[in-house]
Amino acid sequence: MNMFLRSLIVLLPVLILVFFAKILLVDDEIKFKDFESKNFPEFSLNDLNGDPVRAQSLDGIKLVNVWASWCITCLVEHPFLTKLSGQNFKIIGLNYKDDLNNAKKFINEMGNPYSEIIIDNDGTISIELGAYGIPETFIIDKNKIILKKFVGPINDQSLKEIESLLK
Amino acid sequence: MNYLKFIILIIFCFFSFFANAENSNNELLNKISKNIRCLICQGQSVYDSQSDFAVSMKLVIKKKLEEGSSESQIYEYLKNQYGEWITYDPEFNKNTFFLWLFPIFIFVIGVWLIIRKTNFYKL
Repeated sequence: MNMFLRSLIVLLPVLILVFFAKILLVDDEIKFKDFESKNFPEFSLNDLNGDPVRAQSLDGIKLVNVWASWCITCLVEHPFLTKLSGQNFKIIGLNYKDDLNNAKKFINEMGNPYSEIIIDNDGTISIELGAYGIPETFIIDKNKIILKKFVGPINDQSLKEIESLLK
Repeated sequence: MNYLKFIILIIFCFFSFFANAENSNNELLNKISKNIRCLICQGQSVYDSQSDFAVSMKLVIKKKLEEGSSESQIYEYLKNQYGEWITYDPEFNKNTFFLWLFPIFIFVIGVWLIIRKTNFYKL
């Protein structure tokens, strides 16, 4: 067997290993990179008090935050959302598959940073928005076009990006 | 009596038609959800997963089917929402060509190695 063949037999499994390792490692990047701007989906849902939410409620909204009382990370993110609402950011809360009483209790205890809370009881609007999990925050412009989504809790680092997007 | 039989037959056909439509929608729902990745669980399809997001995803697919969307329209819609990543059957494009061509390359190398090693032409 010549030298080339021998080195090929040794190198080929290494190449295959590197290839699949790379694919597995960049999987999450591929997952979140594909986001493109799109319109906010149509919906007819109720708010926390059971009243229907009108599409006009979205006028002037800059952030849509998907949350639930059972989500621990949302609890961690909540003080930051409260800080943002204090800075005149209009935030809509999309309450994902939650018990209404628990959601009300959460808001009563932790404060309400949302200008409106929409109840997404079966989670379909969150899917139509393109959510991967909760918490997740969508930035929308005045024409109701989603500019970007933040997967996971937002923080000071995200705020810089949000401000530059909404300029 | 014949009229009665005829009416019963019509009613039977009417209900069996809707039952059939329902079944074909369910079959299509299962087929599509088997080809859609679960958003939060590794290596599982939406069909296999009982996670909250997988259940919501199945509801969205069902809603789209009831609205009359075709299988390919639903795939397009989900790709638009989540990117190419969401399906288990990626298209051949500049991002995936390596994925499609690499196994063929490996196969060709393998055949070539076997031929070289076994002195195939001398057999």
